[in-house]
Amino acid sequence: MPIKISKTFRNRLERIYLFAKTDYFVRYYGSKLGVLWAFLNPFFQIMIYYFAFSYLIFRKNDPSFVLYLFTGVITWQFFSETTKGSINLFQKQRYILQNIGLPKVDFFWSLIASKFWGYFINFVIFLIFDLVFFNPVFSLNLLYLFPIWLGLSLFTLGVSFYLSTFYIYLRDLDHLWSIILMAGFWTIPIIWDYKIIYQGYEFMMLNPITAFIVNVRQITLNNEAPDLKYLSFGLVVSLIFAISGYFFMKFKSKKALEFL
Amino acid sequence: MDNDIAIKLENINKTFVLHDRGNTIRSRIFSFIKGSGSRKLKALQNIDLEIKKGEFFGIVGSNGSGKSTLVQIMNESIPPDKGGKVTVNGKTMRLALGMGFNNELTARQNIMINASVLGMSIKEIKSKMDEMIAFAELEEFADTPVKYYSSGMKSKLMFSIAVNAEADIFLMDEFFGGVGDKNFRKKADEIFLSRFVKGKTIIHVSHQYETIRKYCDRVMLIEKGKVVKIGTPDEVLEKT
Repeated sequence: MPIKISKTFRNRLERIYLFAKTDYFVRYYGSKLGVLWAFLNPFFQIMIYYFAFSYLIFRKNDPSFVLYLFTGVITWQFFSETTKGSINLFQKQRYILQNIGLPKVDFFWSLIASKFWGYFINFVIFLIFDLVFFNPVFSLNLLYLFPIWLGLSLFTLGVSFYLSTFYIYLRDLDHLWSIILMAGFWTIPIIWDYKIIYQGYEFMMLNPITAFIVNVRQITLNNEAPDLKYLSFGLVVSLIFAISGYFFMKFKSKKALEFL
Repeated sequence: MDNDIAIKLENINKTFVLHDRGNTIRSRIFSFIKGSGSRKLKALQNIDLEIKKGEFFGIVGSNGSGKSTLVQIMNESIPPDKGGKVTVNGKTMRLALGMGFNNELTARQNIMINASVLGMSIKEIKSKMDEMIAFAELEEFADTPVKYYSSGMKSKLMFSIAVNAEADIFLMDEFFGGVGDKNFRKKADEIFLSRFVKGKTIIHVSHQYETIRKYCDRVMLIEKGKVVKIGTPDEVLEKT
């Protein structure tokens, strides 16, 4: 019996892996350069920021602003792209759900794995760029990236659980969500200087994404320890979101196949 | 509950609520103000049924009689109305030809994903890959994206993947007996019998009485969501 259980469990892991792989690679199939785009895209993105901000807009300012912008943008992209992809997840996978009783949560694992891999590649491009142009100093503070990434993934996962389940009953959620994301983009310190927050707007740190983005920068750009108060608050909120979202999805998505 | 029972349905009703409004915010607000125009549709009524392990059970009925809804309830992909009870002993799988291929992927990549969904390990899939492609007679097109396939090619491919599926109870929704040309069908029949029929429970939904007569132990006739008759193929099919 234990052998059989481990076989089904392994099958499950393999399936999650295969779905994540497909989700990640499918957008590059049919293009001439294929997966190379996964590297070219962030490379050009950072180059464009570099030229736009150091030569055109903020000519006299700090050229490392490009790093500030890029870390914010990629972290935000991970959140926004995953949640956008999660909205119609049940609809996309309805053929499989209809036929085989797979645990629905597996599709979320695949989605988050695929998007996190993309985020990770962007992060590698960032580190290379940083090392080549800015001679950064890194310390063990970098290890704080792991709890931040964990929190970010949990929060993203939690929001995705809620979105995909609400979408069953409310089909124009995707339009609404892109407006909310737009509001998020401008109210989170992605482009603007996060130091403003500490000048009397600290409540903004209660948004977990804000806390994570601010702390990613503390660590990678300033080589400082993170703001532990808000980081741990963000982690707790994320955990609550993920767990409550999971149960919400589990119990409220039973009729998904009737409505989609 | 008896151990030799694969699926047990008790007092199964299924009501679909059809909304004449759409599922958008605007139409929700409108229907809230005007009163909603929803209708109820009874798809299944008072179904009690026991299917034994190893049984080859047929379900027949005209279009819209509730066959597919019943299969989805057996598969537990949709819940019955309150008060109904579904007991399933073992892993179920619904096999249908329209199952999900990703059109952007090639036959090989689709085999990888679909076979994994059907319960095979990556190692097994790799070792059986060529066999599956050969069975579907698609050697020349194995690395072509499925979007260029004809519907016949797709259903052959699906069939050759699905015969490797691992489950205890198979729900075949118009799956078997209609794929490909004469030669392929003969081949499909053989593999179908050797892979599936022994030791597995099969629930076979079909319009084709030929296969039902040939294989089924018992047949259920269903009309407008109600069971009309359950019995041997000869008893039931005579009536129709």
